[in-house]
Formats: sequence, structure tokens, C-alpha cells
Amino acid sequence: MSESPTYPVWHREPQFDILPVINNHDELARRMSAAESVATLGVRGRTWRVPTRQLLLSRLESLTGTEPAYLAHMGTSTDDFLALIAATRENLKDFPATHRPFLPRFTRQLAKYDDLPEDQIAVIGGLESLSFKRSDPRRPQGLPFGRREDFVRVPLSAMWLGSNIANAIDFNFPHPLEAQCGTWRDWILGMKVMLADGTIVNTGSRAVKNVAGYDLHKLLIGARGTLGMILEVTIRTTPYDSLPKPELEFRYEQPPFTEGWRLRQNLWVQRTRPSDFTDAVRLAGDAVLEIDWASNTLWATVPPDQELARFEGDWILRSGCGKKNLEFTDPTQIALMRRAKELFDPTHKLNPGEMGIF
Amino acid sequence: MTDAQMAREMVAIVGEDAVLSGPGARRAYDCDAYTVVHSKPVCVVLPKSTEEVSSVVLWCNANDIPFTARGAGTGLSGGALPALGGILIATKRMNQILEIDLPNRRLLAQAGIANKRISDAVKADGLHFAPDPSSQSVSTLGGNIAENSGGPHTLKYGVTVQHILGVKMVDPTGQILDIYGGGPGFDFLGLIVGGEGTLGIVTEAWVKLVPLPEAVTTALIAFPTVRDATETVAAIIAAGVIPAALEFMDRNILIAVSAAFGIVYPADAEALLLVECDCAPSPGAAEKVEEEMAQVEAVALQHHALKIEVASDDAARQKLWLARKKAIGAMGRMAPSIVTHDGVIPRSKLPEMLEYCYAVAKEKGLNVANIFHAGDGNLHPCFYFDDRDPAQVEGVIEAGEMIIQRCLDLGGSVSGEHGIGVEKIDLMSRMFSPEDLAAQALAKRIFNDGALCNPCKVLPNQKSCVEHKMRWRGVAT
Repeated sequence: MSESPTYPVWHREPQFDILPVINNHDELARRMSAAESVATLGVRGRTWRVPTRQLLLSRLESLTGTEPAYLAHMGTSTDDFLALIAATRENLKDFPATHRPFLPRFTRQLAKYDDLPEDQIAVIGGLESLSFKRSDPRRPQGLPFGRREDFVRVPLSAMWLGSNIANAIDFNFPHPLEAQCGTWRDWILGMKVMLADGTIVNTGSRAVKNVAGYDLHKLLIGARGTLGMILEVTIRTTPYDSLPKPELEFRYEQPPFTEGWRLRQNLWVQRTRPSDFTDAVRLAGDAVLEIDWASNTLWATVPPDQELARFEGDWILRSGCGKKNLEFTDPTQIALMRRAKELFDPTHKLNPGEMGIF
Repeated sequence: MTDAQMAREMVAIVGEDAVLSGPGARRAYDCDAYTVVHSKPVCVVLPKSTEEVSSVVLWCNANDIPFTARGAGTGLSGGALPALGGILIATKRMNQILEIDLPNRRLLAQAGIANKRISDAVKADGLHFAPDPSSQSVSTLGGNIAENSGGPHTLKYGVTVQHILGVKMVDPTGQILDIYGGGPGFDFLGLIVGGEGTLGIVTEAWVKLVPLPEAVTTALIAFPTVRDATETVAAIIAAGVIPAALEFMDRNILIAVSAAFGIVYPADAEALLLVECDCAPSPGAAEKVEEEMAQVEAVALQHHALKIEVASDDAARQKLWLARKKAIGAMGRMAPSIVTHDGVIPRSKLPEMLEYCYAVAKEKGLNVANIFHAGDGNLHPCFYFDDRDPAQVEGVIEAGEMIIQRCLDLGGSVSGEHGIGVEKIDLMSRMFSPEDLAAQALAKRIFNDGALCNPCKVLPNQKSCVEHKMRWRGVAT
């Protein structure tokens, strides 16, 4: 990986309630030039509004240590979105000299939710909120990640609040029914994705079963936007009536907001094999906030300079500890990830520094 | 290098008893269960370990020889066809269970083990390996991984990819890789499962073991029309019930099964649905299954069901399953040859799709019987015909293309579970744009940047493959 950026950076707009929890922004912050002024983006004679600018900026700055070069807020139509992509692609030629990152803020134009219960699928725009209206009893089916009451507590609410479908898929978010109903990797049937060069590609289909070609969307799930930007997904839904109950245990009183914020700044999420999980919980002691006994996942609060016991075959996600937030140690995995990155994003436009290994 | 020299080189690597060569062996391994195309390997090797597979692949790379992995040869799309000849690496001697880890509900096995042996090994512990392709008594774990196999119970339990925790594989350059899923980072395991053996050769795998259901109830429901039966399929799901299995059989299937096994079905039944509801061990499991089946029956009656036969004990359930499990065999009585197509659609489109299948068969003057995984919308129109008649063969091929095109038009896919292989490679361009295929090619290149590992599969327009197609079909000049 080159030390200095020679290309513009595309970085999907961060979701502020999530990135502080488990993202590693050190590299991004290092790459971003300081104190760029914010401009409203004009595309083909149109001007894009920048609402709640100061709020967004302050949050972005707190995350990255700097302000973005551009902040574009889109309208509501797909045409707007495609126009911005086209303009962005054209502008790529001009950007390298500036080294400025470009942070398009795509909002409502990618928020849609087409429910097709007979086919057991939903076609969802990438920026559709993960709000709990999905649990609306008038809807017979939805995404099988649990009911509203399973999310009202920190830390799950901290990870999910304000996020959208693309975020959840980018991070392959753990959820309370993972052992019973599977992960995002099990539900997603197809995607519309923008690659690093601006090409839009489709993967999969709208059928609940499909083995045609390589499952490109599998590669995108959990890739944190480093291989492509998720625009739309087709997801297999589950009847609400058949949702099992989660096996969550809470080890703390619901904290006040400020305390909740503090807890999520030092979050430790760990999943072990079933045979190690009781030991993991016991050794974590008072640090434990929440336990999912079904998926062998624990959420704890752990200061940046400390660690909980580790076990063979486990994995962790952390917040508040810089590059330690996400660490890869398997040389095979690292080599393959670097290889994939070079093929899909050779100029490292997409979410630089996110994975900490390229 | 002559064929004899190549065989001697293989003997030096894996031993004399693990190399098959000569006309008989080459003929025996020149196709899988997709028998329309044939291509002979130079020789067949039967390694017993990952290290032997690696040695063979390293040798192939050093000598620029193509190689193809093969399990039991039950694949239905030519995925194990040695398309450019070379070495065929058969995994049937890699058939050992290496570790059973009951506390963590997982099992490590070599790739050549038959699917059903895995479930048999842990049945006494109340567990099983959920993917259950129809060929499960012989098809191998490695083959299931390559094709991301499904089966009747994938409606509820998912396909193979949901049940593989990690693999050991030999990559196309001969390196041995251990790849696990589930954690942070890119999901390479999800790419390898279903990669049709083009991303490397899986030699071992950790599989997930899931509890055997505690309560199971099966119903065989007869309908007066195909439309009634197919509309019931979507209505059951929309009502909030996800059965463990939801299978469809039409009248032509019933005729074949009756002729073969003497089973009598309602005379006015044009279609049957086989519905199975189950529940994992848990309090109230039996009641829950009973409740689900009651919902199924109510939906079926709303759609004019003629007869509903429900079975809860194992013997009675096996009887109801008989037609579904023996149907393809029974079809052998109907004509000298059968071609089973594989397409998938959103299940709400089943009624119009079935009507289209029958219309196509009529237009082409062919016989067709339908038996398929209705809950998944996974069609398997079976055309039975005389393959000695070139006109009928041509008609079957044309009918298949028409049906697959209609699957695409309805938002489905060219393959639900048989894979692309060589059979459907030309249809990929109908389903995906050039940009989509280019992105898939990038994914392939993560593992396979060459042209030796299972060439001419999945992606169209591969170098050196186009000119070989006529040879595979036996019509090259």
C-alpha cells in the first residue's frame, strides 16, 4: 500500500452511531487533508442541498479528525443518484492533484422497501433504515433479527441505532437471532453494487435459491465497503410468526444515555466455540454487559489497554482502541484479502484503512 | 509428453494403485451425470490425502496440464467434465471422518465421503448434516461443496454453504490453504462453496451438525389442477409457515410411480404437494408442528384440495415420501431417455411457469413431467423422449432453453441447484451483463488466475474453450 494517496478517496458516508464502535479510522484520518472547506456539490447545473451541515461536519470531524472536501446530499430519485455517479466518474480525472476525499451522502434515493411475502423476499435500498417498523405486525414477514424489545438496550442498540441496511451488511452485524435464523450471509440473495471504478453490477437473483455463477455478494458482506458500495439488496425474509425467542442475558441495569455512550466507546464483542463460551463469560467477569447464549457471543466493556481471555477459533470486534479495533492474524486470510482488494479496488479508493491490512 | 509418460508421472506421485489409465478408464470418467457431453482425461488419479492432491496440482502447474476434481460424478451440469483433458483428480478414496466434535456440533471429514455417511455417523447423537441432495447416498461432501447442493429440506435448513464452517483446499497453484467462515473479513468460504471446483480442490471440510427434528409431520395433498397446487405453495409461505419441505409432483409423475410401484393416487388428482413440517427439540415441539400443519391444511382446502393424507409416524411418512424419492427412477419406464432441467423462479410465478412448461412441451411435441422443490421455486421439468430420434433431441434442447429464458424473464435464475458447469455456460450471458460477468471474473481471479484448474466452467468465453465445445458433444469434425 502506498504511503501517500495519489487518488481521490470514495468513502461511503459513515453512520455515526456505528463507526465509533467498531471502525478503525486511523488510516482514513491520516490520509485526509486537514480543514478542507465544505462545498455544495453542483452536478450538471443542479445543486445538491447540504442539510444539517454543521451537525454532520462535527460528527465527521470527531470521527476522522478533519472535515471532508465535499459533502453532497442527494435528492430522491435514481436519476439524481446516477447523475452523481456519472459526475463523480468524470471528476475523478481532476481529483488526484488535490488528494481530497470525496464523501457522497446518498440518502433517500436509495431508501426503499418492496415487500413480496409470497416470494419470501424484500428488495431494499442500501440506505433504507434498519428502523423497527420492520417489526410492524401488519407485515407478515421481515428481516429475522429480532423484535424491538431485543434492541432497546446498549450495546445492541448502540451498534444498530441510526444504521441502514448497507451498514449492517458491510459489518455483517451480529444480532440476537443469529444462531436461530442465520446471518446476513444467509439471507442475501442478490445485490446491486457500485464498484470502485463506478461500474454498477448485479449479483444473484430474486429467487430464494440460486447457484448461477460466483456469489459475488458473499464477498461484499462484511467487507466494510472496501470492495464496493452496496446500493440495493434482495433479502430472504422470514415470517414473524415463526421467529424464535432470543436467548439474551443482560448483566447490567440499563444505563443513562451518557453512561451508555461511554460503554459503547470501549465495546468488546467476542464469539467463541460453544465449548469455550462458559469459560469466556466467567473470565470476562464484571466486564460483561450482555450475553447471547445461542450464538456464543458476549458484549463487554473493555478499556483500550486491556484484553479479555482469547480462545482458539474465536473472533472479536472492538471499539475505542484504534487499530486494535479489528485485527487479522491468519496469514492466509490476510493474503487473500489483499489479493481481493488489489483486484476490486487497485487504487484504494474505497474506505481506505478500514481493514487495517491494506 | 505422451499419455503414457503422464500416467507414469502420476504413478510416481500417488502410487500405482491410485492411477487409472487406458481406454476403459478414460471412457468411464469422460462425463458426470450430465451425459450429453464427453471429454476424456489422460488419466485418473485417486489420491488419499491433501498432500497428494497438492503434489498432483503442483506437477500439473509445472507441466501446464489442466486438471479437474471429481467426487462421485453425480453432478448434472458437467462440472466434473475434464473439458480440456489432462488429469482427473477423483476424491473417492478420501472418504474418512477425521474428527467428531459433539460439544461444538461439528464434524471434520475428507471431501470424498458420501453425504449420507456424515449424518449416519452422528444420528445416534441426535444430530445430522442438513443438506440432503437426492443423490446423498453417493454424492460426496466435496461435490456438495463445489455445487452448493440443495435438496428437499433446504427450504427450511438452507443449502450447503450454510452448513460449512471451514475447508482445507489445494488452490490452483498447488498451495494448501485453510479457510474458515463466520468471522470478520471477506467471506472467502462463501465464494468457494458453489465455486464448482474452479477456485481450487477442497480436500477436507468442517461441517455443521444440527439437531434432528423432535417432531415431524408429513402430508400428501392432492389437487384437481396444477394451478391449485402451485397457488397453494405461495399461499402457505405467505401465511407465515415455512415447512421443512414443500415438493410438487404432477400427474405424469404419478402415472410413472403408479406403474412402477403400484401406488394408487386419487383418480382426479392432477398434482400432489408433499409438505413436511418439523421442529427441533424444544418444549411444545409437537404442538407447534401440529399447529403449522393445520395452517397448511387450511390453505390447501382454500385452494380446492381433493384429499389430504397426514402421517406422523416414521413408517407412514416414508410411504408418503416414496413417490418423491422414487419418481426419477420410475420415469425410466416412460422413455429411453430423460433430461431433467433446472431453473428457479420466485415462487409466486409458479402457476404461470408451469402452464408455460406444458405449452412448450406441446409445441415441441414432447412429453414432460414435473417434479420439483416447489417451496424454493426450483423447477425440474423432466422431458422423456427417444434419444435415437435427432428431432426429439433437438426439441428437448430448444424446450430447455425456452424454459430457462422464461425463468430469467420472471426474475429467476438459470440454475437453482445443478450449477452452471458446461451445460449452462452460454446462458450466463442471458442472466448477467458483461459488467456483472467481469466482476465475477475478478472474484474468480482471487483464487484462480490461470487456465488449468477445471477450465471452461461457469464463466463463458474462456480462452481455449469455445473450440472444444463441438468435441464435447461428439460433433467435431
